[in-house]
Amino acid sequence: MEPDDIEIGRPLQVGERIQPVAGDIRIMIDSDQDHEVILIARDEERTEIVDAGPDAPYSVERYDHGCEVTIRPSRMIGDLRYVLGAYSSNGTPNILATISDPRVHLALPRSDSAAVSIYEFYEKQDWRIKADGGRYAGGLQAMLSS
Amino acid sequence: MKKNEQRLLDTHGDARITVGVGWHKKRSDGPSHDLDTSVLLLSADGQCHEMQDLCCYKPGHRTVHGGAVIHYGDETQGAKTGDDERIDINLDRIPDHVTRLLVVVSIHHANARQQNFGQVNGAYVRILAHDGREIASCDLSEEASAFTAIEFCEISRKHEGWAFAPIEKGSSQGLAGVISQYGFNPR
Repeated sequence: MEPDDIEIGRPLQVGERIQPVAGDIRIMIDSDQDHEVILIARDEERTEIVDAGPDAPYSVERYDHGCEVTIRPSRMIGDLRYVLGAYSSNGTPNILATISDPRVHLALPRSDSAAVSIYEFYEKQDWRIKADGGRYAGGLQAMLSS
Repeated sequence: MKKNEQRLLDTHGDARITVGVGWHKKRSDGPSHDLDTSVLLLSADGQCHEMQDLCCYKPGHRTVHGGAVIHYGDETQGAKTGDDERIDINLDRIPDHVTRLLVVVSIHHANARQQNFGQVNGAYVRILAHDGREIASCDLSEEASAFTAIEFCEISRKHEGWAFAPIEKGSSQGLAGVISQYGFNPR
C-alpha cells in the first residue's frame, strides 16, 4: 500500500498531543519492511509487555506491509502510560502510523535504532495520545528497561 | 486563573517566592532534554536595561541585583528528584526601576536538536510562596507541547504589593527569541 492511496490526514510533530474521539482508537501502520508491533504499559516502577487480544487493551490485525492496531482505552488502567512501539533485529523501517479519528499521521523514517516508540496513550481527564518517536539503539530490551 | 488575569500575591508578610522547574530524564536515544529557567526584570517601558535585568543559568546572570533574584544552577538532564532548576526571588529587594518580572522556561538548543516541550516527559513550572504554598503551576508537556520556550507568568508591582498573572505565551524561537523582545541581544 502506498501512502498516496489512503487519506492520512494532518502530519503530527513528534511531541504533539491530541485527544482521540471517545471509544476505541484505530491505527493503520504501514511499512516497507518486516517489524513487530508491541504495546508496553509502564509506570514509575515497572514496565510490562501487554498481551494482545479481542478483549485486551489492544489487538493487531496483520496484512502485507503493515497492520491495523485497535487500542481500547476502556480496557486500560488510568494510572499507567501505554507505549505502542515497533522493533526489528536490524533497525526500524520507514513507518507511517495513521490514526483514524481524528485523521492524523506520524511518519517515522528508517533508523539504525532497533526499536521505536510510535504513540503513547495516557489518561489526563480524558485519554490522550502523544506522538512519541523515541528511538532505542538497544532495541526492545532498551525500550523495556527505560 | 485565566490567562492575563491579575491577582494580588498573598505573601503572608514574607515576599520571598520560588520558581521551580522539573522534568523527567529522557529515556530514549539522542540528546537529553535540557530545560532552562529564566527571569526577566522589566522597567516601565517593558524592556530590560542592564545585564542584571536577566537572571538565568549563564555565568554572570545567576545572582542579580545583590541577590534579589538567584538562580541555583543549571540542570541539563532532568535527573534530580523534585524541582530540577530553581530561582529564588525576594520581591522586597527588587530595585525600584523594575515594574514587572517575567518568568520564562525554555529548551536549550531546542531547534538544533529538533525538540519541543511535548517531547519532554513530566515537564512543569511552578511558583511557590516562601512557606511552600503553590501559587501557580503549568504542565509544560501538555500546555506548551509545540513550543521551545514559554513566557509562563508575570509578577508586577502594584500600589498594594505585587500581583501575579499567568501568561502562558509559547514561542518556537527558544530563550534567544524571547529575551530579544525585551532588549537583550543573545550571544
